Amino acid sequence: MSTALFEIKDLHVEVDGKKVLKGVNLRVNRGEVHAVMGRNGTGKTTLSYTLMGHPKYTVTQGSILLDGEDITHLKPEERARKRLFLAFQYPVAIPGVSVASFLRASLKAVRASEIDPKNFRSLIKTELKSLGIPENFMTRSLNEGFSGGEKKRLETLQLRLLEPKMAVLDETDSGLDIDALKSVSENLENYRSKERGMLVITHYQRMLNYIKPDYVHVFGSGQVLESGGPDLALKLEAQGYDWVKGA
Amino acid sequence: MKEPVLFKTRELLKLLDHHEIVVGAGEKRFVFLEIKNAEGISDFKIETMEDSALEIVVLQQVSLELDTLSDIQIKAGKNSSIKLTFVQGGGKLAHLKIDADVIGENAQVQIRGLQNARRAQKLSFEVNTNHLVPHSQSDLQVWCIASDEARSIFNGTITIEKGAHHTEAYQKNKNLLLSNRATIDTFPKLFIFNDDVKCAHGSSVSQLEPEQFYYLQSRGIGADDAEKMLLSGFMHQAFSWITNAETKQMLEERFGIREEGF
Repeated sequence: MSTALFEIKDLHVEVDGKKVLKGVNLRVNRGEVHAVMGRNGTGKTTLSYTLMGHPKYTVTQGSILLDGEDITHLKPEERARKRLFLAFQYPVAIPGVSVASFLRASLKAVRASEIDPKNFRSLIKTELKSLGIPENFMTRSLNEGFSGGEKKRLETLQLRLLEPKMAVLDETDSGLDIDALKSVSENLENYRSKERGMLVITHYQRMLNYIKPDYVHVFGSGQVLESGGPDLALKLEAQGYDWVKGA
Repeated sequence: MKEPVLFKTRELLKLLDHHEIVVGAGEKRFVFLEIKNAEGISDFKIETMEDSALEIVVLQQVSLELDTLSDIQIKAGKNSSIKLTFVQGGGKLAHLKIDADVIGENAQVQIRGLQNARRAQKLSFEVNTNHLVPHSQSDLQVWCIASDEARSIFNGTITIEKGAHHTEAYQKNKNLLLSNRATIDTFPKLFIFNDDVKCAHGSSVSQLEPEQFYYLQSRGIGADDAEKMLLSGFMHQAFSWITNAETKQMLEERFGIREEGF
C-alpha cells in the first residue's frame, strides 16, 4: 500500500481532562476528498483543532501523519509550513493587523522566502477577483467586523494562496447565504487536484453538492462510526443520524 | 486594585512650557506636537471655535531618565470637532492629563491614546471629559501596555452636567499585561446628572489572546513573529485613524509597527 497523503491513527484526545476523541482512524490519499459529518458536540471541531496542533487539545494516544511523516507533536506553524491547512469555522478577529500584512507574513512563513510587493499585489489581485472580494478588503483589520461570508471568503483566499497539500475545512458552510456558499464552495472545488487532499467537516449535504466527496464518514462519540461513498451524505440528509449506531 | 500614583509636581517643576492652539471659526487644522526631552510640565490650551475642525497628534516621548507632566485643556465650541491622538511612550515617571470641556452644542471630541510602559516606567493617563451643554458627543479609546516592571495607570471620567441632555459619551480602555512583575490600574468612571443621554464605559485587562496567537501560528507564523504582530496590532489601533500620512508613518516606525500597504 502506498503512503497516504494524510492519516489519522487511533487518535485519542483530551480537553481540560475530558476525553473527547476516542480512537479516530482516517486515511486520505492524494486527490481524495473526505467528508466528516455528525451532530453538534460529537468532537468534529476538536478533531480539526487537534489536527492543526491547538495547544489546548492533548493527544493521549495515536498519531497524525502527513506524507508519512509523524506531525502529532509539531507546533501549529510547523504543520502549516509542511502545507497542512485548517479553514476555521470561527476565524478570530485581530484588530489593528491588516489583512494585507497578515497575508504577506503568512505567505513568507509558509514559503520560507520573501515575496516582493509587486508580485504579492498581483497574486492577491487575481485571487480577490476570483472570490469576488473588493480590494479595500486588504486594508481592513483581520476579520474585524467581517460578515460570516467575508470571513469564509478570506479563509478560502488563504487556502488558495498558501497552497496546502492537505486542507481541513471546519464547517466552512456555516454562516453563508446561498450565493456565498456557492461561490466559496466552487473556489474550494477548483482547488482540488490529483496531488491534494481535503477533509470537509460539515453538518449538511448542501456544501457537498459543490465539493463532491469521494468518501463520507459519520462522526459520533469521538469516533468514526460509519464510512461510505457520497450516497451516505444523501442518506444522512434524508434520514438524519438516528439510524447510525452510537451517533 | 491599588491607588493611583500621586505625582509631586513641585519636584517636577523645573520647566514650564506653555502652548496655546486656537482654531478659528470655520477653520480646519492638523497639528503635531512632540514633547521631547523636556523634564517638567508642558501645558497646552486648545480651543475650537464654531464650525471648526482640529486633528491633533501629541507624542510624549521623553528620555526614560526624565520625569514629565503634560496638561492639556480643551474647550470644544459649537459644531466643532476635535480628534486627538495621544501617545505616551517615554519618561521615568510621566503623567498626561486631559480636561476636555464640551462647551458648544453639537460639538464632538474624539480621543485615542496609546500608553506603552516598559522597564521601570510609571506612566499615568488621566482624561476628564465634561459635557456642559446638550447634543454633544465624546468618544475616548485608550490602549495601554505594561511590560517588565512597569506600571500603567488609566483614569477616565465622563461627567454629564445638568441640562446636557442628548449627550452621547463613550470610553473604552484596553490593557495588555505582558509581565507578572508589571502592574495595570484602570479607573473608568461616569458621573451622569441628566436623563436622556447615551453613555457607556468599559475596561479590560488581559494578556495576549491565545486564540489570536493560535490563528497566526496556524498560518505558519512563528511564535516570536506572532507576538510581535499581535503587539503591533494592539498599538496600531490608536494610530490607524490618523489622516496625516507622514505623522502616521513616523509613529508606526517609532513603535516598530509593520503595516503592509496595498
